[in-house]
Amino acid sequence: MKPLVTRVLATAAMLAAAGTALAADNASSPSYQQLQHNYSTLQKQMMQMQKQMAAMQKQVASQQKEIAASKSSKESVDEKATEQSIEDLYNQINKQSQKISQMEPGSTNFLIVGDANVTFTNQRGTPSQFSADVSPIIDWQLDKRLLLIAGFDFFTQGNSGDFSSGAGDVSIIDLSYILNDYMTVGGGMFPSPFAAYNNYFGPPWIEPMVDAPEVYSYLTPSNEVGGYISGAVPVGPTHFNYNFYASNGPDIISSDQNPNGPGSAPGALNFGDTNNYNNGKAIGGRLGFVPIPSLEVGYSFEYSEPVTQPSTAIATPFHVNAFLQAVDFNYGKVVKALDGLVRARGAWIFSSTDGAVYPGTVGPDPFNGHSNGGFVELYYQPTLIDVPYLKNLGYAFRYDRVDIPGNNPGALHEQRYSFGLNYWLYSDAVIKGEYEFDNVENTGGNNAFFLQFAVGI
Amino acid sequence: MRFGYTLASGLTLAALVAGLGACSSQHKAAATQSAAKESKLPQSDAGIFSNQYEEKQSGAQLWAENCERCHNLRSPSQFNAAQWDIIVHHMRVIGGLTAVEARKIRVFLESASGQ
Repeated sequence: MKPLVTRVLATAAMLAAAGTALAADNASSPSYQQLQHNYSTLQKQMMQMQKQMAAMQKQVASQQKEIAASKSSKESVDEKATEQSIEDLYNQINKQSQKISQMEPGSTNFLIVGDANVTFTNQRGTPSQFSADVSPIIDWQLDKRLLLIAGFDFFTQGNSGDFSSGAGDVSIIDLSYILNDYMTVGGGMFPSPFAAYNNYFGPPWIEPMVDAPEVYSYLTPSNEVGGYISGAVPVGPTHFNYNFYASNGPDIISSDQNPNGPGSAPGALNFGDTNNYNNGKAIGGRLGFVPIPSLEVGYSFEYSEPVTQPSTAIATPFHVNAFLQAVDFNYGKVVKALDGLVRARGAWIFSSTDGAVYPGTVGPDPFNGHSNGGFVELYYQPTLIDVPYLKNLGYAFRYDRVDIPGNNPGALHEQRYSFGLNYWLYSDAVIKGEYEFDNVENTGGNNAFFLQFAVGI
Repeated sequence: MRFGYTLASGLTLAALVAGLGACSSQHKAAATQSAAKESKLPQSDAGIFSNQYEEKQSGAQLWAENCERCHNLRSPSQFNAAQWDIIVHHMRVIGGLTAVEARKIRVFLESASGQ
């Protein structure tokens, strides 16, 4: 292409030069004819070359057209292939989605939590023994507001060593519905919010000691059978929470049905029986206040009109009024200055029931129905120190006491000092050791040693 | 019933609660930035107790502070997102969490569970 252009330009230059020469010499020169002949020849050659050049340009344009057409066709094929693969991918995803949908259990959610433990107990006055306990809790979330909590407790009985003699209980049947941000309504059999412990600290992977404070065995309900409203309300940087309930309530221990066992003075309240023997219901609740996130304080109350259980020995059931009150606190935080986790919790319970003369007792008011008891518990674990094993060790101390008055063997004045050591395998698996100094008025008490392996499920 | 005893014990308890409450009145907790995901939480059902303090707290912070008060913190990866949803629902019912706390803790645990 380039030589051809050069040749055309050279020819044009020559023609121009020839033209100039012709104009200068004009006619009759002898070489004029020759020059004119050459000029004509060159002009013909130039015309011929212009034709050739036009043909070549046409050819090049045609080739470019073909290339463009070919390229366009190839791109179209590639696009089709891509679309096909995307469609295949969508089909695969749809198939997998359908399979996953088929595996889903529905719109409800289901979960088993709870706890389990194996415990060795060596207490003065009774044979040492191993025991085991598993307490599964089924959470069935019917939707985002409706929840069923069903708790069970399966345990070995006594020191028989034969699991076939184990026993089981239903511990929770709690059906609740979240009405709005501030209120939940529910009912069934649920851990009593009274004095906080049973609702908050009962599971063995939460309580650093092996056994519960003694006062919760005698002066407080462990479960309520009834209905409740609960919720929490934020107020500035603090919040309140509440749980108010109406339940069957306790009944009264009378001497003929419970022969003066320790802590079971006639006239004392019996929380172990969930039946109601009159129409009087217990009305109670707990109001909690969280002034800072690591601290909660609470006030609880329960008013009831219990009666003695129907029996042949008591023609007319005794009917008294009972009023329980409690204050509790709970603190838990990782304190950097102490290189670890600090927990402190406690509660004090006041129980007041009408005095009465029960069968088998004497005097105008043999049962002084004013009992009280409580506990204070401290726990420290150096979680922030960089020493393996040592940072998994937790140290616990608890003081607890209970005073149930009365001038008969059913009265109880007991105080205990407990020292515990926890080794945490995981955040919810712990090996606990505890030694308990027990002091019971008149009898001296029964010191105890416990060893427990507990897990949260 | 001896009402004098009841009244005395009631007053003692009220004084104890009031004393503990007063001790806490000077507390000023540091507010932290909410995670972007948490800012998209649904609005309160009623909204009459709108609380800016709670809105400023992150789910991780609320989780650590509220749960550790009673028990050790379980790793978020111990349960999947659906399971955390149920557990937080359970704890809201029995543990006295506010609605905003429960929602933020749930969102944090669901995202931190990695599943």
